[in-house]
Amino acid sequence: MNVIPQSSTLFFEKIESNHVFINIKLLTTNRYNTMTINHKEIMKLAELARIQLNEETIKETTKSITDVLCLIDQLGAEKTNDIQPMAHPTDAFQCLRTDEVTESDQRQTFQDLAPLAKNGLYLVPKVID
Amino acid sequence: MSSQDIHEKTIAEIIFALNAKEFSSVEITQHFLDRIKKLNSIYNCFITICEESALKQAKIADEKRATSEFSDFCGVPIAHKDIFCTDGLRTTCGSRMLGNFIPPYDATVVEKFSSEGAVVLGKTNMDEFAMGSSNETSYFGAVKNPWDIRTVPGGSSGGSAAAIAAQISPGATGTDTGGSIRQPAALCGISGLKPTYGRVSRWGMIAFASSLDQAGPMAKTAEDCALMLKIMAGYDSKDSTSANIITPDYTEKILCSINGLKIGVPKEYFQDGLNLETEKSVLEALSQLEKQGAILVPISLPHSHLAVPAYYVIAPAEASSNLSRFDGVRYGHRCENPKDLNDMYTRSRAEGFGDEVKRRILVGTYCLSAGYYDAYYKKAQQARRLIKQDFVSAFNEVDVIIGPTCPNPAFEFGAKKNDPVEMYLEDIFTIATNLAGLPGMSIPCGLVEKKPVGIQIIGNYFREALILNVAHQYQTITDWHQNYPKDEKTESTSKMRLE
Repeated sequence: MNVIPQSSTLFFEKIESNHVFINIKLLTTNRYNTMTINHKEIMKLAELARIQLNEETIKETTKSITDVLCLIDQLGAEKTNDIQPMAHPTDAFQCLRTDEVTESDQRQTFQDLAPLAKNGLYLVPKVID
Repeated sequence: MSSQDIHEKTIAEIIFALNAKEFSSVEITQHFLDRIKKLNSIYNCFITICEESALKQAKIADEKRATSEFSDFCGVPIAHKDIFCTDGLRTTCGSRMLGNFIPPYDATVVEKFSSEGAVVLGKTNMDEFAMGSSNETSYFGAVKNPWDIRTVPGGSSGGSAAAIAAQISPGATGTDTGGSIRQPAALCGISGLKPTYGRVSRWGMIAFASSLDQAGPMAKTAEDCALMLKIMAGYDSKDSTSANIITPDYTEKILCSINGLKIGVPKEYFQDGLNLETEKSVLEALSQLEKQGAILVPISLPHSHLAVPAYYVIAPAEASSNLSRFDGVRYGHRCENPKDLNDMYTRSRAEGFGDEVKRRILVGTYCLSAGYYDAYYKKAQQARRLIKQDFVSAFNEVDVIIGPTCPNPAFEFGAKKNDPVEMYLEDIFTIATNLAGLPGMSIPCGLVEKKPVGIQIIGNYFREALILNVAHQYQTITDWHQNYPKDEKTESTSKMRLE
């Protein structure tokens, strides 16, 4: 039998029947044993997302991401084979603008915002030696 | 009413006072600025206060009112959520990443208010990049709920909501991706409307999840929200998702009778897990509407349970893509002494983003990564269609849908901060409307544990006028929208609110 973590029972402690919150209860019972993500995977994600992770907080990050993945993993129980995915809330199509120049040259204005820019160029650390 | 009580006025009353020359815009603006100076150190509603420019704008508004044609909003002070770009005025999005970002242009929403002559008091605090339901993720410190400073104001538009509840701004703009207007409106006892996706231009509004984000008004009353939406709504060729649909006169429509209106009450929104006292307040509100001639119809939204999981795939996936632009090259935070390009990217982003933003980027990256796309992103989009179909079926039978905005009143700081999933569930009733792209509004309907709670009114696509109509009619026979907390004692920030 799974043990419901104390912190996650606060909100849904009175759940008894089969209704909208039932899946959330499943989450509380499953969150530590269905969906897991390991250290290697979290480091790969951080690499893909270009975010340096702090070694001291990596355990906490892994745990909280595991919790979120358990939440979204509930979608798997729903049968959706014949359902057309919905990318846009009102199923609108992409509008195209007329092909004309509307913007003036504001290079200097934009480059004033840059952490480092010189002679009209954005400066970054050397890429090729 | 004396000049000492100006802050108690609604926007409609301020417009009336300006038209009657009872007060000048400079007097009104100065009054709100004085209150901001007195109270912002407690509530932390504002990230940037615009004293000098606000008084300048107020003076121009007074001159305009004296010498030429002017619009209703001329000289009315408001605040903008710090997610809207403001030309020459720092726009942080609640993040260290944009801590020094000064946009070179105005968002369309900002520009629209400016062209009407509105006065900008400042930029309101928010959860970082609008990711949060408590305002605790702001780099600039949490906003405190004026009803009880030990509790959160909700989020992400918590600064806007708290500023209105504290009566230091009569109205403010907000944005809503999963409930970020409606949830803080409910927790702070004010009125807030998330319009239909596409109703209000998002040009110049910093993107979080592009298929969900929408801007809307926050104010004391539905009437004030109608006045603000009248300005905010409309087609904008600069926003490719903007809807080219006629904008009705919201202020006129709110006066219609709701006799015979069919209100759908979804059974899924009234299950265990909903605070019993909140439930009682919502049922009481429904019975008030029934007395006004509305007909209550029980309905079912059977896929409601998919909303939160689907949202936490779609929103982080879109966020991970949108926030990839923050790389320390063209604007935003850059780390010190990067040793190479990758080091610059990874450290700038690690330093510039807070924990919640990083968490969502990582979750989004996971959902979009090779091998997982079908299992998560595609599945969530399919669930999204099921959720939308629930609403489409419901609106074949009813005119609006009403339920609670949030399951609970405001919670204490730190109560959910370390458990993201529990925090996410605060938006359980608001998220589905974002996924479907529908308009929804929260208005106050009672006090639970001496803290406000709200009802959510959901309408069919582009039926904001009907939502505002229902909300306004409710507010003509109830006074929850007239309840405001007393000012917190300025000498002690730790002191509890006096009743």
